[in-house]
Amino acid sequence: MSEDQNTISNGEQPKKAFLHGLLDNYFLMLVLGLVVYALSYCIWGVIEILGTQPIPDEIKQTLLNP
Amino acid sequence: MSLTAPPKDWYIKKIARDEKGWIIFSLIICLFMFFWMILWHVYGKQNPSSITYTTTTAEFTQLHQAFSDKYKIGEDNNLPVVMPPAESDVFLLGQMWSWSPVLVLKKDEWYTFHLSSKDVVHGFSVQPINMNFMVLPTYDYTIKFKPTETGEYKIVCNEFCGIGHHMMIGKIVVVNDESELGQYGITKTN
Repeated sequence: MSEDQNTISNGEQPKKAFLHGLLDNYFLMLVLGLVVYALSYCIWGVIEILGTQPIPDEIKQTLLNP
Repeated sequence: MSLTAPPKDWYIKKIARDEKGWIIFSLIICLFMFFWMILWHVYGKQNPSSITYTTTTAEFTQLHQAFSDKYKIGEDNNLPVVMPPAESDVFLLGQMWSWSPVLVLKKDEWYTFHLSSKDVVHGFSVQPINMNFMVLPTYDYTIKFKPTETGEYKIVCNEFCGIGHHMMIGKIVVVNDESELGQYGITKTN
C-alpha cells in the first residue's frame, strides 16, 4: 500500500497517542528538556534557601550564657 | 537518519528484540548508578552529611569569640589555640585571610563543626585528607567530625578570596592527650 498506513480510507487521520505526539515534536521536547530541568532545579534551590533555620538557641546559650 | 521524520506508525510498531535488550541493559545501568551513588555516600570516603543554619556575620563572630575565649589554651602566631571538650560545638571562622582559631582535638572523639565566613566565600579544605566544604557568609555549615588519626592537619582555602588567598592556612592538631601538645609546638598557657 503506497498510502500512509495511518490514513484510513475516508482520509481522516487516526488519533495519535499523547506520548506519540509529544515524541514526534522535537522542538517541544527540546523546550521541555530545558524548562523542566531549570524549573525543578531552581524551585528545589528556593525551597532549600527558604527552609534553612537559624542556629538553634540551645547551641548559642551554651556559649553566650554558660 | 535522525534528521528525517520517522514513519508515522513508528509508535505502534512492536519493539525489536535486540532493541528491548538495549533498553533493559541501559535501565539496569541507570539503576545501578543510582544506588551506587547512595552506597558511595555512606561507605565511600566522601564529605559527611551536613546541616546548614542561617546566621549573621555579627552573630557568628560573637559565637566564635565566645568559643575561643571559653576553651583557649594558648596562642600561635597571634591566633588563639583552642582545645574544646569532646562532643562540643566547634566554631571555626574564615576571613580574609586566616582561619581562626587553631584547634586541638582529641583522637576518636566526636565534634560538631560550625563553619562560616566573616566576609567573602571561602573553601574549607582539610589537608591531606579529602574534605572540602564551601564556607559562605551568613550561613553556618554544620558537620559532625571525628578525627581518627593523630597529627597536624592544615586547612587551606580552596575558593579564591583575594590577594592573600594562598596564605590563608589554618591548623588542626589531633592528639591522644595533652602531653603531646609540645610535639606540635603548642605551649599551654591558660
